[in-house]
Amino acid sequence: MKSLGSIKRISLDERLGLTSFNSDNESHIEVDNERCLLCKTKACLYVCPTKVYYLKDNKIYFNYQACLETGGCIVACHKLGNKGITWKYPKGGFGVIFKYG
Amino acid sequence: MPDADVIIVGGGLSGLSAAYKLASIGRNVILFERGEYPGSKNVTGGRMYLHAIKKLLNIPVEQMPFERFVTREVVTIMDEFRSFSIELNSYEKGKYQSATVLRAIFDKWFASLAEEKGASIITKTKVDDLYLEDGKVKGVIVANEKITSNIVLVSEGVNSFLPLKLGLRKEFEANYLVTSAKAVIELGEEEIDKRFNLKKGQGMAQIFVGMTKGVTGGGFLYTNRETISIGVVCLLESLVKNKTSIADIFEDFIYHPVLEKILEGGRMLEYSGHLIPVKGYSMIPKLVYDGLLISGDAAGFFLENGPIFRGMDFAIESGSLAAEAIEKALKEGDYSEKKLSIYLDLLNNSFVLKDLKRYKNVPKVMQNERLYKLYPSIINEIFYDFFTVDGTTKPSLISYLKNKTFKHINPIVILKDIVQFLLYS
Ligand SMILES: Cc1cc2nc3c(=O)[nH]c(=O)nc-3n(C[C@H](O)[C@H](O)[C@H](O)COP(=O)(O)OP(=O)(O)OC[C@H]3O[C@@H](n4cnc5c(N)ncnc54)[C@H](O)[C@@H]3O)c2cc1C
Ligand code: SF4
Repeated sequence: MKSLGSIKRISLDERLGLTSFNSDNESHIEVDNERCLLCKTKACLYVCPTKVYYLKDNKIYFNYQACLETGGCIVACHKLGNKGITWKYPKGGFGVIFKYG
Repeated sequence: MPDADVIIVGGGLSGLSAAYKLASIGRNVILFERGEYPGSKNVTGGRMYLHAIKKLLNIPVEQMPFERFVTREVVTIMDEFRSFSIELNSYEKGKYQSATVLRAIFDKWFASLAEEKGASIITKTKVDDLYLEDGKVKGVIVANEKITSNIVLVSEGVNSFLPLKLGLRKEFEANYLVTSAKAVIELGEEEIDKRFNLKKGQGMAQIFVGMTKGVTGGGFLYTNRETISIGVVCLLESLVKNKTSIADIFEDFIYHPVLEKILEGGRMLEYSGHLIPVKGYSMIPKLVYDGLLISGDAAGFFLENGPIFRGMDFAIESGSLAAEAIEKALKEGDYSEKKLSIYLDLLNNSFVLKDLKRYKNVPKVMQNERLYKLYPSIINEIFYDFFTVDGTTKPSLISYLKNKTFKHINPIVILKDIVQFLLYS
């Protein structure tokens, strides 16, 4: 039998390193932190499989290059948050490239 | 003259089904796909129920790039330390209903078939908008340029941005959508056969509940040929309400003791995520408009009924029915909403709308939070206690329920949930 690697606790960063991207140098995401300041739920923090959005010193930061393009953040932010997110698909050919899917 | 008879937005299963069918009868079709290649943006659980693809393609399913044919179904109800499973095995030879699939591989193959038939598939190209003349759809806008056609088919998947812009659907609420986190893990073909008690080529589909920390959702595990697909699905609304991250639910799930021996030694190859439209019949948009039709996930065609997930057979069937409607309209040179409404008749006569109507109340049942924590823990507790022998004498079943189970929940509530389940499922 061929030898198999290990699945010992893989962190989110390591998981992300396994997925292929062709990252644009322009972001397809924008966040208006004036809106976030007044946002009670911070919905964006919970719905993203790669935690693109994170909270630091009361501000929302985001790492658009880790985006798997689900689109879940827009609906969560606009319906349960304070509409801070502007989001569109990356330009054609950019963004995530699933090899298995 | 327009640039094409038909423009299709999106090279997933639905758009490709339509492209394949229209190109086969000689129509000039342009399909735009924003990804590097068809399939590169697409994620499923998953397993495809085969009836629709069999009808569309004249190829034995054994020759399609499926992973394994499902012969073993498992539903596992979990709590923190225990699991309780129900299992169905089918040993009838050659009678496969469904097959596991990896979409980046399958969609790429399917696209090459459509191209062989003559469809132009243009990848790495995002459609930014629809192009309208006198309020009628006449093409699309790509990189500030208009490309024209008699009819546009929108098969852009769950986010369904173009129909929203045109006012054909309302904004999604946070309980219309489930999001997912998934990994593909390599174990090797023989190892999978052994670990899951499968013969070569046969596969397992397993659904889990009770491992989402009370969030409405569940887990899945599908065996591919050499890998397994494993992941979690959670309702957006419920993640936010419970202040729990889908990424964390995923991580805790794959390291749950139930999976420890199953995944041992596996090598993770990819991590992915995607939305699913789960509100069923009530989220379907207006499906036709002058010069335009909508199919697949973009039309909200998805059905969840307990452990059964169906989006791919709906995507394929609605794509091919859209192609049929489009062909009729092209023949008559009439692209009006009225003419294109034959699509609705075709859908109404097919399993697509029949099933979505039949199960229209299921989302109500599925969005009952008790299903995801309370009931799984009660079931595990009851069975654990049932199997416990420790030298003490057990009370009668009724006094057990009274003293233990009904302390967690009022029996009237259970009764109500059962009635709702029977009425709606
Ligand atoms: C985790 C998970 C588990 C699932 N499990 C199952 C299962 O077991 N069985 C089952 O039957 N179904 C399952 N489904 C549902 C199933 O995957 C979908 O219903 C199906 O993929 C829908 O196909 P589609 O062609 O409509 O959309 P998609 O496959 O999403 O295709 C849409 C395509 O359009 C492209 N696109 C989008 N916008 C643009 C644009 N503006 N310009 C150009 N291209 C664009 C995208 O890149 C994509 O290729 C599951 C889904 C998920 C996420
Ligand atoms: S949910 Fe939207 S408004 Fe609220 S913090 Fe996140 S991005 Fe800002």
